[in-house]
Formats: sequence, structure tokens, C-alpha cells
Amino acid sequence: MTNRPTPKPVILRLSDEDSLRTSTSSKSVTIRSKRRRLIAPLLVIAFLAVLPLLAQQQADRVKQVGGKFLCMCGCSQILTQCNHVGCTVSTSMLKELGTMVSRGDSEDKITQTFVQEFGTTVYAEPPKTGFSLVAWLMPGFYFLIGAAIVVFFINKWRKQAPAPAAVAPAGVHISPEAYERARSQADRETED
Amino acid sequence: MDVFGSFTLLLAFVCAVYALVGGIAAIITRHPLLVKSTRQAGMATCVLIFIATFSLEYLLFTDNFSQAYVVSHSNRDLSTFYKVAALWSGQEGSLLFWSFLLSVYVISVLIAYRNKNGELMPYVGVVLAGVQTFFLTLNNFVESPFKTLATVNASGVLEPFTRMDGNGLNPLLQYPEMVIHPPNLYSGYTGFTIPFAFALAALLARYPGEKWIHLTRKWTMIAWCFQSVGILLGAHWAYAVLGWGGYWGWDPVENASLLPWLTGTAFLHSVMMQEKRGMMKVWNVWLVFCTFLLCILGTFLTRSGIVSSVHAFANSHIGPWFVGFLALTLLVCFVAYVKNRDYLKSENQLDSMISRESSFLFNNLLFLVACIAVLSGTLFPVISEGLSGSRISVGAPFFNKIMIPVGLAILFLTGVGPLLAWRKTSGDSLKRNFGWPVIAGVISGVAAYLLGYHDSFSIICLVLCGFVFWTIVLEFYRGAKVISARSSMNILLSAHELAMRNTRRYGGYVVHFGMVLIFIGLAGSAFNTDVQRPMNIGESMKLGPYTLVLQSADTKPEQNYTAQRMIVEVLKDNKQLMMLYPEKRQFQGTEQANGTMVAIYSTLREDVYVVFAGMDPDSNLPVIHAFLNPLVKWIWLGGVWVVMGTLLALMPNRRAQLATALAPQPAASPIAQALNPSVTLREGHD
Repeated sequence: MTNRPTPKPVILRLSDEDSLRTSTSSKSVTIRSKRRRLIAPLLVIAFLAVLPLLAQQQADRVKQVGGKFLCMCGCSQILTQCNHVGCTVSTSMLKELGTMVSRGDSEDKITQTFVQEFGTTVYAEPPKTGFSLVAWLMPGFYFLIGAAIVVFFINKWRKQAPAPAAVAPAGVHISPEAYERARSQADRETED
Repeated sequence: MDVFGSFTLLLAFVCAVYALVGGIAAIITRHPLLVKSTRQAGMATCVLIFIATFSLEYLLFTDNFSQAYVVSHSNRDLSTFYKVAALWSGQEGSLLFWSFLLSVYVISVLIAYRNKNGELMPYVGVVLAGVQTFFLTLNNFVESPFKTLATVNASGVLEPFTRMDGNGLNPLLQYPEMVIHPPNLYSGYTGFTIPFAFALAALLARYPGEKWIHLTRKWTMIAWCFQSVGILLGAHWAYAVLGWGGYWGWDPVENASLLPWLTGTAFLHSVMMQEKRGMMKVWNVWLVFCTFLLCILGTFLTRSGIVSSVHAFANSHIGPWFVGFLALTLLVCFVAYVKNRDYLKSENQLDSMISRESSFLFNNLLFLVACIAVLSGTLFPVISEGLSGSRISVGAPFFNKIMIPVGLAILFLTGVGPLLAWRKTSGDSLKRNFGWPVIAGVISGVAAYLLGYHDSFSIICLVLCGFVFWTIVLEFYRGAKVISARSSMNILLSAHELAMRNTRRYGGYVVHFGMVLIFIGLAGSAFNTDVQRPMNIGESMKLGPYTLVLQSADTKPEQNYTAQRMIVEVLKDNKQLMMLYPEKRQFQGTEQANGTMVAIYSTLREDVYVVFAGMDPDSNLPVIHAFLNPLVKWIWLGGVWVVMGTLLALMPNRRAQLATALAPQPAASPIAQALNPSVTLREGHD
């Protein structure tokens, strides 16, 4: 058995710079590990903090999408506004909507599901496609036609020559005398 | 009493038929005795309808449960107050109530003009008798309120029987406003029969336009005021009772009440064109015809079951009767117009696009567009089902999108109209008149934005409200300044004097002011927020700047129901503001046994609106649904101003003080007269 010499401990003498470097790196290792230790709880805190926000966001989306449907209990109220005591229809519809929203379903998909389930009467407003588009276009159409008529008449009346007061207005097919007779008869026969 | 009521109703029908047929004969033969007897038959019809109505009320008050109507709409515990309202809570009773209110108008007209307008009144009497005959047909033969309960006994014979108690009144109707809302609304609907009757009568009698307008001016304003109050009370009832946090849901029945109001409002404006300038006679006649027809159509929508609504009466078979009456009325109006249209030709002349006349034309256009949009939206489910096979619902979001821009445009014209001169408005006058109102509008918008109202439509609405408000203030100020300069009165007394001298014009401005307040209230609806959750006793929840604490709950037995109350404390900045008591009511003897009572803490800035929404099925805790609704109070305040303005407009003008009368009047410029030889500004007020 040979006696192996016990290795002499090597004392590395470090220069001050190295020493500083080592100390810095060990510090940074410590900070890193501390950071690592901090990240997990921070993530949990952040998650917990975001959770109500997510829930709120989801609730807002339910409200926004639910505002596009009617409650099918026959009350004709908006789904999210139906408040009939013990209305089981709106409760189950809202539950179903909540599930679809939390699943991340698109608005189109939710609409399709509800229309398949309840028919087109579930819409709170007519869709802007097909025959329902007529409902949206009609008011604008009325306004344009009406405005055209008003402008037409204003222009026509502006061009109309001033008529003497005693003569019947333009366009009257009865004689001016008969018209005036009718007017004086009305004055004679009525009093305010 | 039921036999008596039934008999008087039948007698009223006979009298109405005589007034109708005899009236036509009187017009043809011009026999004075026939004219007199038909007028008296018209009055007898009204008196008999009054007796029949009081008979039904008597049966309700005496708890006569042998009567089907009393059993269906009353019970022993129902308070006297609501026994009055039971009259119009069912289909049969409300149709009788309709006849009753129409009779109030008819007898008032017959008495007021008994020695006047001898040639016109037989025509008016015939039209009124025609409308009464239709409703009496329904009262007697289709929906009689006097039906006795009977059962078939063992020997197969019908045997009358009496129930111990009734089903009671619908809980939704057991609210003070339901005692005054339907009478107001029905008074509006029935009131428009009077201008309709005079317009048709004047057309049949070949009177050129003006006269019927002078005769019916006040009747139209009365009907319009009732209709406005009825609509607002209905909105307040929906807000305080239905508990969904809003006041207007664009329900078909609500829409039905709005339709004649829109055309009636258009008429009240366009009539000034006829009075002042002799224009639009045909248009005005048709506006009145349409207003009446829309009243009938609204009644048809409410009662036929053609559109579904929470407010509608039970489905019945009276729909075809209303359709028939509508068709017949339209035919009569059309034939009368075609035959006598020459007598309605107007003296239409305009100098400029920018004039008061043009603003009235655009005002009428917007009201008509609003009316047709609401009507087509209401009927679209029926139309879509008929044409495409699938029923497509049209709810509040559709109407809001369409009506908000139209409403804002009408509000804009409310401010612009009074600033424009008749015939033509010069550029200088535009600058002078529009300067301050525009600045006021901009300031209102900035203030609204700074106060946190960040919604484009709401900001536009508040800008326009500021603009219109300032135009009204300027109108009063300018007139009052002239009176103040001529007398020793201060500016406020002068403004009062000014309003009393031309009540119609300044009453109209007060109505406009009321509408401004209503629009301010509507602008707030974009910022409604709500919170709903189950709460334990002692728990609190935040609602905007408020904290709501559920303090306790109790049960309160009342005469006709038992209330389950939640006691909610409202705090702001940790200071107690008030206690609110939202409740659920369990009614006795009713099929529809539950009701809600909302609790509201209302300020000019916002309403804290608390509903007890029931018990949570999972936790068995009470669910509190709280809403923060800004500016709602302004709507009800606006309604008060609308009524005050209408009452002012109905008052006779006060004569100007002697000092004013004697003040030197500027002589009419001969040059101006030469330039405008046909200017015939007629009687009436702008």
C-alpha cells in the first residue's frame, strides 16, 4: 500500500478584482435564486389578481352577447334584462351562454347555437342579412324618399307665382267664386 | 245590477245607431226636428254609457262574484282604490272604459257647440256616433262585461252560481300609477276622435280647411297632453314596478301608444303653417286622419294578440272587428277626400329653403319617419313571418339604433325652428340668433365631457339640449325686454306677462323646455351600470360611489298581500344616506301571485335603484340587483314641464296693457307691402 500523499490544499489566491468578480457573481446567483423564489408567488399573486378581471371580462362578454338575444319565456325582454320572478328560461339560457363564453366560442357560433335551439325569434334585433336587412334599410329609405318629397315641394312652392288673395289657390278645379263662397259659408256657419 | 248594466248598454247601442242613421238622414233632409233628435240621441248614448260603466263599478265594489268579470279581476281583499282600476284591467272592462271616455268627450262637444256651428255639427255628430256605434257593438255583442257565471246542472239546464271570492287583480296593476296611467292614455286615444270628427265633417261639408282647425285646436292639445302624460306614467310604472332597471323597452304596446303621439305632435306643428300661411291643408287633414287611425291600430295591436307583449290583453277574437273598422274608416276618409279635395287646396308659397316653413316641413318629415320606423319595426315580426315563413323579433337594440339619430335631429329642429323667420331668414339674422345658443351648446358638451359623460350620442344630445335651452331663454328674454322697456316691470314679471299675452306660443316653448329635460334624462341611459349578487345579512356591495349594506329582512303582512322586504342601507363616503326597502309581494287569491316593488333613491344626478330579485337557488340567500341610473329624474321633471306648458297654451291670451296698446306702432312700410303683395299672415300664433 503506498502512501499517497494527501493533496495539499491549493489555496488560490485571488486578486482583489477576481475576488470582487466572484463576490458579484455569487451575489447575482443569490439574487437569481431569490428572484426564482419570488417569481412563483408573484405569478400566483398575479394570477389571483387577474382572475377577477378575467371573470369580470367574461361577465361583461356575457352581458354584451346576451344583449343580442331575447328571453324566450315570452316576455320579449332582452335576455340579460329578464327579471321575472322564477323565470327558468332566462336562467337556463344565461347558464348556457356563460358556458359558451367561458369556452371561448365566437359570437357567430353562440348565435348559431341559440338560433338552432330557439329559432329566429331569439334575435333581439334582426340580423343584417337576407330578408331581415329590409328592416334596417326601411327607415333610411323612408327618410330619403320623404326628404326628396320635402325638397321637391319646397322648390315647387318657391317657384310658385304669388296669387292675389281673393283668387282661389292654384290647382283648384272649382271656380274661384265657388271657392270663396265656400269659405264665406264656413265663416258664416261656424264660430270659435 | 248586471241586467240593468247590460240593458243600458244595449239601449246606448240603439241610441248610437239612431244618432248615426238619423244624423245622415238629417244631413240629407235638413229637417230641424231630425237634427235636434239625433243630437239628443247622441247625448242619451253618452248618458247611458255612463250608467253602464257605473253599474260595472258597482258590481266590483259590492263583490258580486256571480259576474265573470268581477271574478276575473277582483277579490274581497282588494282595496277600494284598486277596485276602481279593475274596471280597465280586463279586455271587456277596458273596452267599456274606452266607450266611457269617448262619451265624456262627445257629450262635452255636443254641449259646448249646442247653439253653435249649426251646419257643421250634424256631420260631426254622425262621425262621433259612427265611432261610438263601433265600440258599443264590441261592448254589447263581442266582449260584454256583464256575463253571469252559470253551470249546467244535472238536468242539463244552465244554472247561475256565485263564487265565494274572485281571482283578484293582476299584481302588476296593483300600483298607484296603474290607477292613473290607463285613464290618461285612453283619454289621449279617445281625445283624438274629436279633431278627427271635425276634420272629416269639415271635408264632408266642403269647408275650405281653416275652420275645423280653429274649432279643434284646444281639443287636440288636450288629447295630446293626456297621451304624453299617459306615456310618461306608463314609463314610470315600468321603471318602478317591472324592476328591469329601465323605463322604455320598445315593447309593441309601448310603441302602439307612441305612434299617434308622433303624428299628433307633427300635426300640432304643421297646423301653424295652415293658420299662419294657409299652407298644407291636405297634409293636416291626413295627419289627423292618420292619428285617429293609429289610435285604432294601437288598440288593435294591444288587444288582438297579433304581437306579443307583457302589457297586452289576453288573446281574443276582436282583431277582425278592428281590422274591419280600420278599413271602413280609411275608405270613408279616402272617398271624402277624393270627392272634396278641391276645397283643401293650399296657398303654398315659399321664398327660401331657410325659413320657418321649411323647418316645419322637416320637423314633420322626421316625426313621420319616426312613426313609420316604429310601426314597421313593431309589425316586422308579423311581416317577416308572412313573407319569409320565419318570425324575426325586433327588440330594443333595433329601435334604439334607429330612433336615437331621429330623436336628435328632432331636438336640433326644436332649437332651430323658433330662430328662423317666416318666409325667409337673412344671413345676419342667422348670425344674430344662432350665436349664443351655439356657444351654450358647446359649453354644455364640454361640461358633460368633464363630468364624465363620454358617449358620443349622449354628448351630442347634451350639446343640443344646451342649444335648445338657450334658444328658449333668448325667446323669452327678447320679448320680456320689450315689455320691460315699455312698462315699469322687471324682466321676470315681463316674461310672465309676455307668456300670458301669447299663451300658445310661450306655452309651446315651455313644452320644448320640458322636452329638453326629457332628452337630458335619456342621455343618461348610456351610462347605466348594475351589480347583482346573493347577499348575506350584514354584507355590502359597491355601486359606483355608493355602498349598499343588506341590514336585515322582514315580512310585512298587508290587506291583499304579504311583502317580503329587504332592508338595504345606502352609504356614500361612509355616511348613511337612506334606507331602501325593495320587496317581493305574495298576493292572495291571484293566479299570477308574485309582484315586485323596486326601491329607489333618486337625485338629479342619478338613481340608486334596488331590486330584491328573489332567493338564490344554490345558496338560498336573497339576491340583490342594484342599478345606478344617471339623470333619470330629469325625465319625470320634463314631463311636469310638458304638462305645465300645455296648460299654459290652453289658457286664453291676456290682453296687452293699455300702455303697450297706446305705444306708437311702427307703420307698415309701403315698399315692403309692395314687395310682398300676397303676404297673408293669418290668425294664429307662431
